Amino acid sequence: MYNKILTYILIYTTMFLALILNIMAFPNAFQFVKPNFLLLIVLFWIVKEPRFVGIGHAFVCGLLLDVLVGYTLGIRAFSFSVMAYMLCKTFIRMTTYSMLQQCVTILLISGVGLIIGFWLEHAFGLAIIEYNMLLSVISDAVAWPFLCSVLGLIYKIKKTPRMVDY
Amino acid sequence: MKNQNLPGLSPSLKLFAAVVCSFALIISDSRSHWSTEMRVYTDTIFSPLYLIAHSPFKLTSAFREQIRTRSQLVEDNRHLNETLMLLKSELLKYGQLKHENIKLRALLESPIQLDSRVEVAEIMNVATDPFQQQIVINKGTENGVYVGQPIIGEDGIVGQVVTVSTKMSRALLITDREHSIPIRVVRNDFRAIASGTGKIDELILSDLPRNVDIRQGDLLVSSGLGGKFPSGYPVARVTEFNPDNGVGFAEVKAKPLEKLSRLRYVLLMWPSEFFTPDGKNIGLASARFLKDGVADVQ
Repeated sequence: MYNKILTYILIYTTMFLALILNIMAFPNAFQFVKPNFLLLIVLFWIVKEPRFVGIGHAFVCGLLLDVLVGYTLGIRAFSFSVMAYMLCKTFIRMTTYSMLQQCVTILLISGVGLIIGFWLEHAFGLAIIEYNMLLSVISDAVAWPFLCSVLGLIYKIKKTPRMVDY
Repeated sequence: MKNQNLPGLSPSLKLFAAVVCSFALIISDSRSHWSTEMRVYTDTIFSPLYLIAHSPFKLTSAFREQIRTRSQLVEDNRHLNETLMLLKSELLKYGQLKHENIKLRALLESPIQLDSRVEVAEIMNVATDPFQQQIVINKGTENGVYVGQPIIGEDGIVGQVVTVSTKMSRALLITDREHSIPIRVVRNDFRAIASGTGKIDELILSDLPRNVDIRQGDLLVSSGLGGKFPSGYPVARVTEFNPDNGVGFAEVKAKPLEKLSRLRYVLLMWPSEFFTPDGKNIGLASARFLKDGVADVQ
């Protein structure tokens, strides 16, 4: 029970921090190379704690992003859900992959998310192709190992007390 | 690969629910305007989040101000005083011209516009990607901000307010895909509409005939015809004029004068309404069509 609460606290704190990072104004030069922190965090927790975080969490996070950044409501929610589904269904054993394979998987998932987001924006509003957008997908993949190592460390620290309890 | 150990509904079922929900949201948001009203509340609820996200920048700028040396401050002060004196001398001329203009307009029985009120606002968040170009500013209904209010910078027009909450508001930049502004060319008073492209430094003037008299380097100012923006404020400069690109219309591109990618402070503007010489208020846009339905361009 104690562990469950601790896990939830950890998950929501990291999600909150990622959300703040997402809406933070970066210099314009970094606008396109800024990774989607919230997406990476959600994907990380889906892999690490599939019992706690799933498509529902991804949907809510996407919707929050829609509301906060001011997109058409539901577009991010949709693409986040699809990305979470891909991970849940196909790549749930991703922790066993090598880091390079993990990066490629993230590249693939994030790319699908970008295409879905673009397609919906195009269908329900106005959108133009800006090839710089692809940079954000690449930066997602590049940021993944760093995020994994930092979050993995925190995760390990959290796990240790339980081992001591036994 | 099945995930029998996962609790709750199967992932496919969850995805189906998520897809249904998000499509319902997307369609209702793009077809009706309930979300604009809802954004007032969500923005009010989430405004602390923007404050937190903005705090690192506030801290660093405060820190930078604190570590300035005395000699730097003295130098700055001297520079600012010089600029102030120059601007004041310009203002003397301007004051006289304004007075003269009002008199002449009264003689011609043209409408008169009094001074507008402006207020400085700080930018809290910028979202500039091809899908949308928006800024969040730290003034809201508490300060009298209203939807459709023009926002200007020191070099030209920045955009207009789209949603307002109590302490902050969201504004669309002129380069947003969904934004257009009525302009006129200063050189020959030719009127057109400049639309955003989704790129931070580009506007296009669409649907112009190929023989239109626009040249590279022409200054475009707001015409005031839409009734939202005050007339005569600089908007953009023409960077590219391409009369024969294979289609029926000329291709005209312009670059906004205001550096939209590095904004920090903007000016909110409350444009004053037009008055007839005998003091009757005739609103913002109607004044332009006083004489025989022909626009009265200054």
